[in-house]
Amino acid sequence: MRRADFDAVVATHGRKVFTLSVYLLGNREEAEDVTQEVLVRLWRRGGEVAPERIGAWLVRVTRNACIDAIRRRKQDTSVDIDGVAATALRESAPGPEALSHASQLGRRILRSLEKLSEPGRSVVILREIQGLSYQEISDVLEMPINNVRVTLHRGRRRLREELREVHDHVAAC
Amino acid sequence: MSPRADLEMCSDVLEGLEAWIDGELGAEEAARFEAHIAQCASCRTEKSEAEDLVMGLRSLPEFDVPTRVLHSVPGFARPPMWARFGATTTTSMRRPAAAAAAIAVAMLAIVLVSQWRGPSTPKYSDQEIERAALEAQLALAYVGDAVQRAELSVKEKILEDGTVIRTVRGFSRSMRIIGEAASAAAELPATPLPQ
Repeated sequence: MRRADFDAVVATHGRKVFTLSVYLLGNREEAEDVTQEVLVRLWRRGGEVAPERIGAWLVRVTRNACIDAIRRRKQDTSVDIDGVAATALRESAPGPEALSHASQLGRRILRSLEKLSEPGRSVVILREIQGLSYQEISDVLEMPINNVRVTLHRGRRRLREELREVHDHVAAC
Repeated sequence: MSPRADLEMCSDVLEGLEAWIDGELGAEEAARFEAHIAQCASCRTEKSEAEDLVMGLRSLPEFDVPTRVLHSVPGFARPPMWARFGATTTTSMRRPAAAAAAIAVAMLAIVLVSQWRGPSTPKYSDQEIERAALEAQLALAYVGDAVQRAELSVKEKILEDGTVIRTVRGFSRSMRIIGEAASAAAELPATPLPQ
């Protein structure tokens, strides 16, 4: 890939890559590693991807890299990934400075996001946080649009249930 | 409306709630839902919570790629060397370097402690102490060089196949082994320095 093209792609899509990594991994440091890995792959292989497909390609590569990172984390620690992600979200993602202005609800949502399994978590992040259309998500995740819609609705419903449980737990304490 | 019909309607609303707040329902269905929540507090609460969640999700921030990550990618336009100092590695790369520095300090401490036996034990000659200090310096220089080479190796590995994590993990493992070996050495009895 030519350097100018690479810089342009990073300027356009880099933010999406890093944001997706932060929310999928729930850990800023790991998100930096994954983003670096994805950008290196872009540098080496990006030239083989049609320019109009590069955004979808990057999201797909990022998501796969995050899933690989989660698997490695699971193998390394032999700890339930939900617990790891929950701790990571509480302690480091997406960074206290960025969340300083976020609402109380936003913080609770972050804690609940890790309870979602794949592909629900990816669909919710891509649609609601990153603003992709159903068609774009369908392309990225290679699933029919109707499945994207159903997965999104189920994911949000599950998040609401989680939020309610957190709220009830706090009220009971 | 009968209680049974009300319950069925509640079930319909809960089922179609997400589609409703996304504006995906037909006008007739949406009007039916509107009429129902006007008189059903429970469904009204459900809708309010669902809307709050969507609003909360959409207000979560996006993040710019950290500069140090950009500058560690070979193709990205780089600032001059002086501006990159300290910003070329990701956190996971800096950790082994910090660990190596800690080990170097620990090794120095081991050398010093193993050579010192307090006022009651015979003192080493000035020459022996000088030699011990020199060896400690050499050990430090060696670890420093190893760290530098390891960092270069990590960068080369990135260029080769982009596998950062595996490389760093391997390096961390090596550092742990060195640390364990140093700890074991600390427990050995002191031996006279070779002349």
